[in-house]
Order: sequence, then structure tokens, then C-alpha cells
Amino acid sequence: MYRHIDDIGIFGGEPLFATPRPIGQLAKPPFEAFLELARPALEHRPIGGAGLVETLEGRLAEFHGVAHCVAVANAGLALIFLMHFFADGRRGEVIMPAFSYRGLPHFAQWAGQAPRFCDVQAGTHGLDPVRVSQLFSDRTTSILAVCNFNSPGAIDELCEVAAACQLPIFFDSVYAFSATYKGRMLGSAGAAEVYSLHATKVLNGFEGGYVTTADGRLAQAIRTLRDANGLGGINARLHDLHAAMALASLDEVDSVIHDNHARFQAYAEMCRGLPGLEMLPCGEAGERSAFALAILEVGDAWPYTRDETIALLVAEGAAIGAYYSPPLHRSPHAPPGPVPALPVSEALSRKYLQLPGGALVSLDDIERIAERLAFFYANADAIGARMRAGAVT
Amino acid sequence: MRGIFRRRYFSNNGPLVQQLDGAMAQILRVPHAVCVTNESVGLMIAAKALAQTGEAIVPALASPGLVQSLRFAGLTPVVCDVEPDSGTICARSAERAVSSETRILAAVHFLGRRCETSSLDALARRKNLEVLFDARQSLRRPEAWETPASLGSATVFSLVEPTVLDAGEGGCVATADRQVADQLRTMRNFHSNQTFTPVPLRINGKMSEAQAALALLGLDAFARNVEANRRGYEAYIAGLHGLKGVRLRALPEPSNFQVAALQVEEGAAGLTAAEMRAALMAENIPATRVFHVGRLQERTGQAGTLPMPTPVADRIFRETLQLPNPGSLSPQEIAKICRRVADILAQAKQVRKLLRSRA
Repeated sequence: MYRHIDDIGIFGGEPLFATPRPIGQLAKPPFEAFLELARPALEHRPIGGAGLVETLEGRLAEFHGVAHCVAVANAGLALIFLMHFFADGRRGEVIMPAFSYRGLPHFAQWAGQAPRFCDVQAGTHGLDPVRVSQLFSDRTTSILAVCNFNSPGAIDELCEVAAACQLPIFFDSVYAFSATYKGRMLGSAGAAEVYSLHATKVLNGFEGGYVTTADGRLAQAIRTLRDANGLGGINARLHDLHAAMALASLDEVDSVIHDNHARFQAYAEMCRGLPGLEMLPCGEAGERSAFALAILEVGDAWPYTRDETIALLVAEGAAIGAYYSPPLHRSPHAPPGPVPALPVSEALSRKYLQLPGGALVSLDDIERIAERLAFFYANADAIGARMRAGAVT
Repeated sequence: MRGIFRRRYFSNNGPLVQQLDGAMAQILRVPHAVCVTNESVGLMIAAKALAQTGEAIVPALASPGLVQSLRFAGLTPVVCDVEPDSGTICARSAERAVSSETRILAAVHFLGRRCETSSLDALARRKNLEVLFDARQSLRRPEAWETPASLGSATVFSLVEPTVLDAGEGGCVATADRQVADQLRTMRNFHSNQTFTPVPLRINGKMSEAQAALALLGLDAFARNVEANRRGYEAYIAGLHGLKGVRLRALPEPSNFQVAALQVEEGAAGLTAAEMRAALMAENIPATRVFHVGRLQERTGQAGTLPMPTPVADRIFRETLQLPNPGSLSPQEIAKICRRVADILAQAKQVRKLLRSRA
């Protein structure tokens, strides 16, 4: 279909999408199912809760195949509690990946720890075990590894390094919900794992988070920390309504993952016709993945930079951004101090952008994105020249 | 709730949270109200916005969780004593606890009684300190905030007051300071488009749309709830009138009347508050002790944060029992509770003997 370049969003034309296409999952269970579960919480408001949190914890422990699940107000607080617990009163450092979520260095500081950024593996994007062993010192109180949406990373090797250094290691698995590692559902890696129930994640509880662990003592410590009962905790309970929502959503997980996978395949198909664009694949062969994110790699054969591509798509109504860019050690989220050289994280942070995904993005939307990207490709000289001449505000 | 599902706007500063921020500002008659997932996170971000490090003076009678919230915010709690009548922070005692490291006065509106704010404000000005009020159990009607000083630098409310306003979980930080408000709105999340001003640290502190929906529904019942509390509180006054050795803690207006606290004076009553509590619990009447920060030190073994004795707080802790909230029971049920208290007092000697034989 012929279109003039004046018509594209970035030059003032009507955007492809009248309502923005987001990146978060935003799945919703049937409203009646949620209401039914939430009824005891809404009507009676018993002190100590309606038992919904305990029910959720039981089902999640079963889902992940672990002995203990402790639900809290959100995943950030869970991470703070774990770092605080492992530090045991000391002010030290937590080793964490530089190519990751901006909240991590903040959470460490709430727990009285300084973030120590570490380089990652080019393939999995997870902590590089060799780099971890080089960074560990007597100031290190724990290792925070991240299981990414595309790969859980080198879990066994990282745990070996942690054991050799005699350090606790725990995993932020927020984007790896429902993924498997060596054939086994994630949930029991390291000392503990943390998951999120935020609406933008595969399991939607409005807000919320939980810790999975085989360690009963650790589980009890987190339970104590989430209660403002005078034993050194704060209020960090999961809201009954959020537990009800998460329970209703648990029944929808397979369907959500199925749709994520279909969207991923549509995007992969799109990339086959577009030189220099490739979807970041999810999961090793034979492993399960939830395809929680749709991440596009922008290569040299594509006639725009990664950031130009983002600008083009944002102007079309895609509510997207760069993926983990800038890397944390070079971001405003790093506390002041010397900036290490972390070449793999730095290279990765230049490559990727997040594509629209989740329940509000249809296969038809993806076809239209594909069409528009093909137009951008076919008219790259004219569009690129105009963009770079500063004709774009 | 159906609207939330229809819009698919579940969290992230959605329309209901924005509406609640505005509604709370209106109801409290404060310039800025910032709603967060719960009051502990509210305390953490308020404390952090006001001071990145240093000491925070805390009264010995402080809500559970306040001390740990201050610690997470990077502050060292230093405990001081309280006023004998209200149990709120004593400005003279606080002044003795001030050091070169002190940055914050963390005062508590204790058991529904407001702090005397002008002496705290004067102390804060003299020593260049921020005043942070912990106002759990004190969600106020508008006429209570007659001066900016009564808000301090920030006041943290809980939206979990079962007989006043109940969002299930939720907190609200109120401030008259625009800069502080911008910091709080930035600190409660990590979104680039919710970044209003440079801040020391951020956290996931968002209230969800579901919580906001519950709170907005609860606001409709606010005035009704306060009236029900008042009736219950008056039933307690009537039922406990004339009993020797016990006194209902006064709640001067304006008040939500949501707390019924009994002071048990051992000499006149013939029983300690602890014995009274055991006797009430045996009758299935829940009665709770108040919280004393010193207990936290004992249980968690954190030494060195009690530089001064706190005799007034110690006495109030020994003597005070919190009874079921006035609005949670009918006046008849409250009258029954008061009759039990009277019976227990009348048989104080036997009750004491029985409890000691069981111990």
C-alpha cells in the first residue's frame, strides 16, 4: 500500500495506533471469578485477613514445587527483606547485574547495602559467574542474580561460585515466572527466589510479590519482617484483594503464555522480512518459557539506530522504550562513585528495544507494525535524512 | 471494581489513585496527599525524603514498625520519653536526646491523642530538624489541622482503620511542602513519567487501583463511622464511670473516638493491667498492651539505642490496656464489657490469687 513519508507518525501524520499499545502483560481473569474469590475480603473484613493470602501461598508453593512461599506487598520489598536478612546487621555490598531492572540498586540501599555492579553473560544476559568470583570481597553480604525472561542464566555455576565464596545467593525471577531450568520449574534456585504479582507480569494480582524457598528459617524470617508486630518488621502484607486477583489469575496462566507465544511467533515472522531485525529468543531448546517480553534486537543491517527505531514506533502509538538502557552502572540509579568498565552490559544495552506486548496487543496489531516497519525500511533514505536533519521535534 | 477491569488500568498511578490523592487532600484539608501501598512504606519514603542519614528521635511509645521503617530509611532511632497525660512525645525529653547527628523528630499521635505541636515546632526550628508525624489511629477530620505546624514536615496516615476508613491496606502521606510532595510522588515508583524532582532513593510503593477503589468507597462512610465510634466511646464512659482504679483514656475533641484505652492503677484497682488483661481474655474480651520501643530492643538484642530512662513511658506501658474499638461493637456489647471490668475489680483479690496459682 503506497503511503507518503509525511503520513508517518514521527513527521506529524496520524499514529498507527489511536490508543497506545503497552508493553505490560495486563492479563485479566474473568471478573466474576475474581469477585467470588474476593467476596470474603470485601464483605466481612476479618482481622488478620480472610485466609486468601495463605491459600495463595499454598498454591504458589505447589506451582513452584517448593516447601515455602511467603507473599508480600510487592517484589521490591521482598528483595529488600532478603538483602537485609543476609546482611545480618552489616553495611556491605550486594553483587548484582548491570544489565537489569533500575529498581535493584535502590532496593539494596533501602537494605543498607551498596550495589556492586557486575558484568553479565552475552548469551543469557544473566550474571557471569567468572566476573562474580572476581568481584566478591569481605564487604559482600549477598549475591542478587536475575533470571531473565529469555533465560534463567547459569544458575548452577552461580550457586557454585556463591558456595565457594561462602555467600548467600538469591534470584530475582520476576520475568521468569513459569520458566524451567534443566527441565525443572523455577522456584528453588539458590537460597530463595522472588516473583511479582504486578499487573504487568504474567501472573496479575494488581500489585504484590512473593518469595519461594526451601529454607524454613528464611521463610519465617520474611514472615517476621512483613509484620509490624514489634519484632523488627514493618507492614508489608499482601492485600487480600490482591491475593484474590492472583488466585483468579493463576487459572489463566496457560492461556496467557499461549497468547504470548503466538505474539512472539508473529513478531519473529515479521523479522524474517526485515534485514537487521531479530527477536531475542526465549528459553534454551526443550525449556519452557512464558515469553513474558517481546524484545527486538536492532542490528547493523537495519538502516536506523536502535533509538531512531524507538522514536519512529513511539510516534506511531507504541508505548515502548529501550531495554535496560543505559546499563545500571552508567545510569542515574547508580549511587555516586567510580564507574567500572562492564563491556558486555554496555554492548547489550545498545542493542535492544521492547516491542508492544501483552493482552492489549493483537496479532492484527503486530501485522500492522510489521507493515509500518517495512515502509520505514523501504523509505529509509528519505526518512533517515529528514530525521537526522532535525526536522523532527 | 468493574471499571478497573474494563479499563485494564490495574495499578501505576491510575485514575482511582489520582482521585484518592485528591480526595484525601480535600478531606484532610492539606495541600498535598500522596497515597502509597501501606503506611510503613509511607514512613520510609517520608523519612528518606526529609533526611538521608543521621538520627531520628522517637518516643518510647511508638507504633510497631515505626522504628524499623526509620532504620530502612537509613536513620538511627534514638528514644526519648513522653508526656504523662497524652503519652505523646515530650519536647523537653526530646531536646535532651538531640545530638549533632539528629535530623528528624519522629512524633507519634499516640492512641488517638494528638501531639502538642507548637513546642515540637519550636524545638525543630531551634535545632534545625524536620518533624515527621506518625498518625496511625489518628486519621483526622479537617478542623484538626488548623496550622501548618500541626502537619510537621510530613504526616503519615494509615488507611487501615477498621472503624474509620478501610482500604484493607494503604497509607497516605500529607504535607504542606510542595517540594516534599514532589519528592514523595517520585519516590513511590520508578516510572520515568512520574519523575518530578531529584530524590535520594525510590521504591515500589504504589497503591493499586483496587485499594484506591476500596478507600474511595470507605470515604463515603467516614462521617457515619465517626458517629458510631462516638456512641461507642460514650458507652465506655458511662459503663466505666465510678469504678475504682480504672480510668478511660480521655480523647479531647476533635477526635474520631476510635480508640478505647483503659488505664489501670494497681494500688486502687488491686490488679495490674496485665492481670486485668488475663482476666478479660479469659472472658473472650480481647485487650492488648500498647507498644514500648524498649521491648523491641530486648527481643532483637539491639543494644545502645536507649540513652535515657523513660519512666513516664514505662508507667503508661504498664498501666494501659487497649479495649475493643468503640465503633466495632454495639453500645450494649460495650456495656457488657464494662460490667465484666467492674466484676473483675470487685473480685480483684480472688482474681489475682487464681492467676498466680495458674502461673
